[in-house]
Amino acid sequence: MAERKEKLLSVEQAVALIASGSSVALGGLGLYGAPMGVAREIVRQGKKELSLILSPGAGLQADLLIGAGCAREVLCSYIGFEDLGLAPAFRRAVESAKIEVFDADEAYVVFGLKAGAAGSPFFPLAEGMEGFDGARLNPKYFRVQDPRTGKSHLCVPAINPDVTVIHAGQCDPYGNVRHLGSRFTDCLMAKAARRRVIVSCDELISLEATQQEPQLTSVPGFIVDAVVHLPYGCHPTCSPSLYERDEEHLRAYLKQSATEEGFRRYLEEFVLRLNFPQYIERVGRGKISGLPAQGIDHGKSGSLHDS
Amino acid sequence: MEKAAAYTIPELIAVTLARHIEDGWLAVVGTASYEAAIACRLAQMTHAPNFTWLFGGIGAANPHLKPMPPSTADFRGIRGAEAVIGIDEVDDYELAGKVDLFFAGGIQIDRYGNLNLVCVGDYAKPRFRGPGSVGLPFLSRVKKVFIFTRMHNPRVFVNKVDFISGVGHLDGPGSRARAGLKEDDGPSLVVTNLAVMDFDGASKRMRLQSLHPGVSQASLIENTGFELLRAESVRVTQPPTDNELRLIREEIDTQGILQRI
Repeated sequence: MAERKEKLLSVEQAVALIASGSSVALGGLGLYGAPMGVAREIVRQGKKELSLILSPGAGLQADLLIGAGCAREVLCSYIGFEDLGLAPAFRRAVESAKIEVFDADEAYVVFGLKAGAAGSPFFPLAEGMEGFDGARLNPKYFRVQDPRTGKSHLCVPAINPDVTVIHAGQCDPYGNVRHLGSRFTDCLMAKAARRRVIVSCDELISLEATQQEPQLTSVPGFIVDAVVHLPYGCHPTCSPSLYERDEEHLRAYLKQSATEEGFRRYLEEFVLRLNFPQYIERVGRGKISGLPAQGIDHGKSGSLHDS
Repeated sequence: MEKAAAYTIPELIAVTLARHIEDGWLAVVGTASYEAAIACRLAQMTHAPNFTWLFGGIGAANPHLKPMPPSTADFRGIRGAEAVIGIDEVDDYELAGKVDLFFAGGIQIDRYGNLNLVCVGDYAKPRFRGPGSVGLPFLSRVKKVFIFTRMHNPRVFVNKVDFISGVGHLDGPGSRARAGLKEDDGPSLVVTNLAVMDFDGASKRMRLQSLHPGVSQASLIENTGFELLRAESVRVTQPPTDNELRLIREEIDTQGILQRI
């Protein structure tokens, strides 16, 4: 009997699936659930001319790729570090016109992804959304006339990234994903992907575990192409229910990256010279496992901090 | 001797926002909005038990916020909630016009309550690039907008925003109607570290209602980059009551975020 094929890849193999010049959606929201391990590997492999598609709130995952020169353009509604500050590399890139920004809003990202997920060409927005200056300055917004009423509606085009990259607390070898907190736009981004869906996870669970509680699966394995087992793969952002944001590291990044030279030093020190295990070693496994995310007990995890 | 002020400015902002929330409304709280989230919870615990609010990033309906998490995207924001919905579902309700109240701020706020989170200076070559508009364009689809900020200064309070992220009263009377929006909806309250303001019904311009204790009229004028209208009698903002402060510190913000930001 033929065997079912597992989808496990190393982070290097998974990132090799991303071609320079392609459009890449990055999951997570703000400093939560960001696929940082994969993002650093994208920088290490020197991908260029990417068209980034970001969730309604993006932080370090976007700032790093933009600062490292991996992106030609970015579709975004917010890039920043929330309560910790503004995104230094993104600011520099825009203020010196080094990147093309398609200023979107949350509605563009969410409803564009919904259209993309359903195979529809665009999503007409409800009346009134055109007051936003992005609707005038971002050429991707357009208007369509409803033939029944003659009314003109602001529309956003479908978003279909070539590759979607998300991180979740758990996944099985066949790509069945479990988020241990909110799903943000991760599921929509996975559904809308044109070619590939890459999932990194803190904990690899068995297919049997998935089958015991299939109602917990957040992204079904049949749309996932690659599973990367990457314990602490969100660091220094938070993996919901597993470990906290590393505020000390994030604040140090922001301070150092206030200058271009400082940002370059951070890249050298934490990204370019280190593969994933070396990075975790450099930051200190004990330090991350010492940032347990207290507050919600999903009762489903166990292996991460023991490994 | 006078009793020393026992509250912080963020606590005063939260209490003032809470007092303006009406029972029965549905509100959404977005990114980096500690005062707004705490105001929602406080309103429920005082005068508005039938008020519902959604913690936007995490999609939690009516969480209890004990304690207040560090971010709207933090998974602990679901504690005590009645439902957790996706960000896409929160957006459905916003776009469908089912939301009564949205809390908002900006890197620039103008005299008509238009908000900017994108850039200072020319859009094509900005002097300062902000984080981006996030959910502010949804302001067109909600009934009321409460603006709040801890940064009442002339760089933030400008005559006209350089970029409209969130629609206020646009260019004044009639301009919302011309844009297909309800003339009487939109920003109705502004609460800052210095004062409380609303918008004049006829001219749609921002109008001073009360100065916070210890703030002089001169200092407010100096920190506002346009001419503020004045209500007939400008009052002093009512400080938090003992009960409001106790609820915030003992039942909501138990880690004291509003005491240190």
